[in-house]
Amino acid sequence: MDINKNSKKIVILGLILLMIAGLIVVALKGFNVSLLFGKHEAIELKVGKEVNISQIEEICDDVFQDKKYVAKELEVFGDSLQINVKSITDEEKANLISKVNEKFETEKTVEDLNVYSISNKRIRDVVKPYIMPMLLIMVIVYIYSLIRFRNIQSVSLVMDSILKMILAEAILVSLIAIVRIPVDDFVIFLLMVVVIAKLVSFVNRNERKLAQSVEITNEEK
Amino acid sequence: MKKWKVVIGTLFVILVSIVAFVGVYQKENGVWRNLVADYQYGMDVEGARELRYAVDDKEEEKYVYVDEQGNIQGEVWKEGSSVTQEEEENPENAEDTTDTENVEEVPYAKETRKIKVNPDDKLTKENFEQAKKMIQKRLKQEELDEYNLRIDDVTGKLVIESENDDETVHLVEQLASKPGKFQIIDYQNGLVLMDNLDIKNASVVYSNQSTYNTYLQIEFNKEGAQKLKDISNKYVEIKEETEGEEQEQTEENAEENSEEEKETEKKMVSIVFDDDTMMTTYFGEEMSSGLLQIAVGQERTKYEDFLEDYQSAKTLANMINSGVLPVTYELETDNFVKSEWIASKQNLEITFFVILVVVPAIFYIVKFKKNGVLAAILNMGYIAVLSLIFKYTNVEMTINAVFASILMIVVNMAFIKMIVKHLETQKIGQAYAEVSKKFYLASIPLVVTALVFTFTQNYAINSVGMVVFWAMILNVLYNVALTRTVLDRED
Repeated sequence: MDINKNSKKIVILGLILLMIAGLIVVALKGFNVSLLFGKHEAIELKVGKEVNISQIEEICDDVFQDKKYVAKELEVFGDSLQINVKSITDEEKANLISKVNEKFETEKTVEDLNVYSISNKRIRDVVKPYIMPMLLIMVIVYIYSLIRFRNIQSVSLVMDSILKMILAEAILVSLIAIVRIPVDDFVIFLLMVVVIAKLVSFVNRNERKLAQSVEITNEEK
Repeated sequence: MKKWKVVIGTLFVILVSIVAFVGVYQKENGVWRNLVADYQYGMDVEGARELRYAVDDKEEEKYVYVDEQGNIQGEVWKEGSSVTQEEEENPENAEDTTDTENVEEVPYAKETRKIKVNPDDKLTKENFEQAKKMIQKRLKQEELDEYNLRIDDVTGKLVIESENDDETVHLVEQLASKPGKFQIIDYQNGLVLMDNLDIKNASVVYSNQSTYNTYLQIEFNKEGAQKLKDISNKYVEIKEETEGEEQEQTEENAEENSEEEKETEKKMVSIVFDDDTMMTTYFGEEMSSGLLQIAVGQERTKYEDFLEDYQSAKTLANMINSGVLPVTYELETDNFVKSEWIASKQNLEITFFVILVVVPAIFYIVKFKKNGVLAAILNMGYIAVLSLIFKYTNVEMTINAVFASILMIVVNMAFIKMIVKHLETQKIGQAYAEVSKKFYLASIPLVVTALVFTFTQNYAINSVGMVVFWAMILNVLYNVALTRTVLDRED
């Protein structure tokens, strides 16, 4: 019994430390955002000949080495491309052009590259539209639960679930910040999925409890 | 009978799966074309129009009225056209030699100033942020939700990613680059009589008796209403004849009417939106209601034409209501950028097929043998029908929606697995009743999610709502109609 209590205390302490660490990381360094989500440069080039992304990716691997990049096709004619990279140096520009010329037998110059600075997306702008629908879902499900599970102390069950939900999200967000997982729209969506999954699991668990309590009552009768 | 039901059910599932995964082909002009509709992809899957805006840095020399505080009160005009200081001082040099005798003296000084579209003191982080919020508000008012907006709060550069539809892109372009400046200007001299500060609200009204007429209705605030009243009494047609003479004139012929024109003076106003004159007119009666209706488009007999006018008026009203953008933007580039996913679309489809159909099939068969084979077929059928529903109900397949579909398919897999497991000890009727009771009670949060998300305006959330909604409906119908039938085996 004591061992259980102690291990529980250690787990809680660990989680609190994790959340504090997450807070510190967010305060000092912020979240690590994905390339397209964060501030980056978009380099556009009209090659003038049919190009496919795998060819461009080969060139980018050579030019940018370990740097992350995302290559996309520009327009519908298949002869233009857009490369998104955190930043590009003059040397990389020259290298990129020379490799494009070599591969596609063109005579492009560095001046043909159009480089645009793209500002970051704000995490709060992506999160904002989810807030009201998610709150509404939680309110509806918890009101339903208060009624449905009224015979098995629904108020304390709901309070407990809300607390656990907040903790789970806080732990996840802390982990994302500490492990430096690149945040993008999809990661934010996954955080919402976790809330819904927890709601499903909460209702499912209490349905079982309710069934057991009904069984016990029937047996007693 | 039961065997036949199982066989027919299984064959039906296989047939639907072939239609959904392979397609139905017909030769048209020598080319085989799949008759089954394609998915409607969201811009994060298919690609987006990327509109890049820069702060307009144009500078123009203008001859303007300046009040005692140095504020510009309007551009010096002569009969609706701006004039330069030189043209005013040497009228004989000017191309337009309109008579200026009737131009009222303006109580402001005139001077030539270099005016920047965006004065330096306006290019602040706060104004960029404010402009972004106002553009977002405009987009929301137009019910445009499929967009991403980024702003650089140092340079003010703006990037809007919008769905690749010309009409939408045109609207987005307007909403981002039009400052929304509404003015009523003295046509004779160019003095600004009223502007956005006098407006309370703008809306659209229309009439449809024999023809459709669309109007932009401007409701002025208290101060604006008073100004409008004064203006409507001042900017009128002034007739110099007496009433008696007028009556006599009505009996005279057209020639004499033209003579009458010479004896009237019209003081007119120009209604200007973002430096484009919408109309130049004078008032026929006193405007004491504080409301002004401006015709948009023409009299329309066709409903489609009227809708165009209505949309234009709605956009104008939206821009006026959102206020004047503190920063004016200029479109730099407009490109369609394919998403990074679209190039690997085919590979992704194959991967999803393997993960969602092949892997579960192996699991079902290994774990449940004969029933496992049927469970695998049923799982494949569910995915096939779901994909057809998505294709024909125009569910927008965003990345989030694709992920939500996978989750809902997994949820259905769990349902089938529970039934097959119960079949080891129970008959189908009892197994189905027990499993579905547990399953659907636990799925209440999913149903709530489907309903809430479906009614949300944001396209990424709405698409997930639609996916969950259709997946849950299909889960009920498919399992009651097919899973129960196919798994109803005597052994």
